[in-house]
Amino acid sequence: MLMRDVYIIGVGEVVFGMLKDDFHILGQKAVRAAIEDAGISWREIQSAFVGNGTNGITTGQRVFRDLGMCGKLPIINVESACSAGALAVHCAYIRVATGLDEISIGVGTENASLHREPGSAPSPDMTDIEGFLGAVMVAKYGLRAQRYMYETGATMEDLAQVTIKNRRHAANNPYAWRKGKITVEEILNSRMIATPLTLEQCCGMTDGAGAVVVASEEVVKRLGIGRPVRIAASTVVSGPFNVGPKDETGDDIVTLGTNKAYEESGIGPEDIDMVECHDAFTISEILYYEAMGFCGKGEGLRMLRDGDVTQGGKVVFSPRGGMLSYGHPMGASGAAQIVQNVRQLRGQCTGYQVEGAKTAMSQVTGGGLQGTQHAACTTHILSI
Amino acid sequence: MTEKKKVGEEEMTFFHPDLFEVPEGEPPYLKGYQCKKCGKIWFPKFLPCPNPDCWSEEMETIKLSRRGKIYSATDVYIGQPTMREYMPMVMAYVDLPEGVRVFTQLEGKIGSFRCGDEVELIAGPIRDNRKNQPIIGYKFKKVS
Repeated sequence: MLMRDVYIIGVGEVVFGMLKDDFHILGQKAVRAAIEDAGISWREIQSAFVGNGTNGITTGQRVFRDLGMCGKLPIINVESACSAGALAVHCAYIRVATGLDEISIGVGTENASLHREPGSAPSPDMTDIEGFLGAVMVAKYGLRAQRYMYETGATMEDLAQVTIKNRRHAANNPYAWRKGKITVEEILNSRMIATPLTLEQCCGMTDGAGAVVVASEEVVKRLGIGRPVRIAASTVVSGPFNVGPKDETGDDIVTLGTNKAYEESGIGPEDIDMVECHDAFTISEILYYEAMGFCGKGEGLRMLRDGDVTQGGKVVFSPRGGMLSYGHPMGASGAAQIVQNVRQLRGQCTGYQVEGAKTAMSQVTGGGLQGTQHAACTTHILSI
Repeated sequence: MTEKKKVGEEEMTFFHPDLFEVPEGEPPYLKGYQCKKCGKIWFPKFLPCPNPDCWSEEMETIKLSRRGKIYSATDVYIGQPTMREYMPMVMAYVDLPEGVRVFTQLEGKIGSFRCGDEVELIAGPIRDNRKNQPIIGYKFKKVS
């Protein structure tokens, strides 16, 4: 099957935080912003995909009904735990790439704070044996962090550097929730959640939304967009399953998904200028430097220490501030990452711009499922 | 997160007859499942055999080793909302000689477990059922 080039013509997001607006209102705000950014009429959107995790059924129709768009286009709800927002964009991409549509929209939205019990940690589904035995996502990453520290000699002070870097990156990003200076002491003295991960090493359970309008080359030409952002790769993989020992300081599904994206785009790690990854916990980002092929096994910490992954370095990880700054509303993050990557490539990120950026990667994993490292992983590579 | 109510779950007091045996006067053991067709060993119980080139529905119950090695352990302070009385607790991956990795709670002092520690299987409360009665399940403790 012949796949056409697909471009991103409009993006929108809300300011992330503990918000009083429920998920559908957040989604509406992001959609309206993206449509305005694209400079098109709502009528031109031919399909919509909405990614969400915990806000119930018919979430997509809830978003579009109050915009008067129900009845005008197919609206498809997408679930993949924390990967949902990016998966929604992937589905919109497929509609245009295959020629079904000229313009589609992928939305990620979530409100956790209005509905969740405070002071508790997200867990796998109760039908999962690990969930039944008490597993929570922070504990699963705690296990990975403990093992990484055992294998490499990394310390909690080392892990804290990820929060410091990402909050620094977010200092001038108006959409980020937490931003600016934070010290190692503040991070390590914050409440212990699951060793070695203290509160400030964990993404907050915030609310938010992002929306991405994708279109064909014909539309890009009609709109007169001089330097459009192209989707060079959009890949979805599911988690390899076995019940035996796994390398928990590697990440088999992330390696699978990003390799697939490198192959699809013809752009390898050496050519990627920035990455928004699933930095739900400090350890996650360090493991992803390695799992995504930016350095060798066990070298992640060195990249962090040497300044390779911050502004001015080889590949800027989390220029928007990552989940450690935005928090992580389950269905929203995957879309919000793409929104920010588009803004970066367009040179619109005053005060936190990755200078001269030509390529950007984003990645979100989804779900803890016994026998897999994650259930799902969605990766995008954009280029300009 | 909404918790779906399963029939009988509110009264469960033992987790789980398919997985865990506590014989009278003998040490407890975990039950693995070996596929009679392809020979792969699985834990917990799967039917059919999850090997996609197999999918046989004939599995043999096997007694798994009572001792294993901690791959990693973490002290959990904030967990699931219905398990507050059990916090803090130690959670771990334990590797058994049969090539099976088990996610489990550990019995013992917070902060006392290290990667590589030898542990052995015991029975103990893992969470409460909906009637606030403890559910007895499998756990591991350090080999004395």
